[in-house]
Amino acid sequence: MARSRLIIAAGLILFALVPVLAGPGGMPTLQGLFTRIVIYAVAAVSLDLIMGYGALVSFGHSMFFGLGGYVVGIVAYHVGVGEPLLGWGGSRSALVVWPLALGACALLGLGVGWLALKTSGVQFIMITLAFAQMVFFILVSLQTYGGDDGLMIDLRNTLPLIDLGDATQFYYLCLGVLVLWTVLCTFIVNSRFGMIFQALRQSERRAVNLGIRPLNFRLTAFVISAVGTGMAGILWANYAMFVTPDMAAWSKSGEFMAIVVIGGLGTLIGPIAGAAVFIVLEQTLTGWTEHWMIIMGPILTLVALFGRQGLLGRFLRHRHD
Amino acid sequence: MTDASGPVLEIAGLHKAFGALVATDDVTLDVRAGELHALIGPNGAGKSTLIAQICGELAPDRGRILFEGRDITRLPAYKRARIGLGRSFQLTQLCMDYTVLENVLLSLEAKGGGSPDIFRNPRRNRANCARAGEWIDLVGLSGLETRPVSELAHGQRRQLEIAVALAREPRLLLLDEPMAGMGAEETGALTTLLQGLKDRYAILLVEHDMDAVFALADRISVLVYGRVIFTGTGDAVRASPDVRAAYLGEEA
Repeated sequence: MARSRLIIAAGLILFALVPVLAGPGGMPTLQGLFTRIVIYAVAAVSLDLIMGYGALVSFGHSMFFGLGGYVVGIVAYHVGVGEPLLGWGGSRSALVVWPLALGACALLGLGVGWLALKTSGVQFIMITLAFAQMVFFILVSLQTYGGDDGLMIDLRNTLPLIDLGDATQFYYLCLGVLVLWTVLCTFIVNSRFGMIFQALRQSERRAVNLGIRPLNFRLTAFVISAVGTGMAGILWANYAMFVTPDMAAWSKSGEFMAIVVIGGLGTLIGPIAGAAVFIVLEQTLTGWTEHWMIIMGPILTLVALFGRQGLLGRFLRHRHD
Repeated sequence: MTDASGPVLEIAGLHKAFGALVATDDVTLDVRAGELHALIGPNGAGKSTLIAQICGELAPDRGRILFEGRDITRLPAYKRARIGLGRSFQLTQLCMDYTVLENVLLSLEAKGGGSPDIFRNPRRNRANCARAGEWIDLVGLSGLETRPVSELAHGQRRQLEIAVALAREPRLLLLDEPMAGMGAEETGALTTLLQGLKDRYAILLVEHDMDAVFALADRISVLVYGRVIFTGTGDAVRASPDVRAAYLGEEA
């Protein structure tokens, strides 16, 4: 318990100090690297909520990442060229665009979740994958929005008081989102809802015979997870100022799953560390060779084989009480 | 709908076949309020299949199941649980990562279908924790509240299984071989516990331990090849030549 608090405090201080270290020290790429880590961590925490606590292995979470990003991109495109979107003039305000994107992800999550949760195990994995592939090919086919090549975003969304165009302010915004989201997910996990959601993972038969309808709890959690991953997509679109169908590719879903497993399933904090390790490794290895997956693959295998609880699982898998 | 003395559970003409194998063959039986009705029979007699149909995990081919006068034959399992049907499992079904206390709290939380509350921690609900504690004491697990189930001995898990089934105060309790795998001492303790509880619930008990069955049961039904061949008091069952031939004789 004390050790996990220490890890969280140390991690938080490290993340908070990144712009200070990067600024005068002359390492602007460091801040960009950490922005990417933080954004991926939002998605990883969201996936861990259902994968770690509910054993719902979604191999399609990239669809929410892609959809969140594309809503931002498409609205920005219409504002940019001054062409109304379904009769709506569009907006650059995050307070308008982001809820719209999150709502779209919630709706997609509701539909996909409702269908996929009629199955379990391998079939669940395959159905979530199939839906993500559908979203991917729809994005590829959107010629107006760049098709295969993706869509450039001319300006970031706007928020009162915060200038998203400023790299440091944008980083702190992402970090704030990550902290708030992780706190919320921790509440969910420890709540009355979370107790039953986790019971369904441990013994579905018992839960059903106590009066639980599994779909209600799993679908709710799936939608919450979809919205969180969509939020990561929104932040990514604003960070990169560029969205491509690759955001919804199956390999992206695989990256999210790998990050969660590296960090430690069912720990929420672990996947944040997992995101850091994954992104840093990716960055380092791509500097050496374009076939960086040849090195990354064995590393993932080793973590999965020997660190069965992930990097931080051993320290973080405490009882929430 | 029904007067107070009517049966809590009524099964009429229940039939279930898996291909050519008839697992439940025209079974009719009832469990009255405050009664402990034991269901015995040799292995493969269809006891577990019958329990699965009563609690809704398996749909019968024909026949009806009535709970307090209401037809529940087509009701899904979770709804049957909500209207007051409780059960324990032959093979322990517990949340292994949860503590003893959390398992009993879950039973209290799940009553009525569970809550969408995503903020309050049920472990901090003092009233429920106190209630859960009472059930834990009752089944003899006091002092083990914070122990994860994965660290409990087999017998202790069986005791917890009973506490989880009881905590939600069902009106009908299906106990599927609660003594399975228990030592003589534990079986004795559980028999005493059920003796003290049996007036408060209608109980259908499936059990292989004949001492426990004869000590507890108001009536006993004997199931052989999916058929109820005899229903009566313990003495009547002991005296019945059919039962002797079909069941008791095999063991004697």
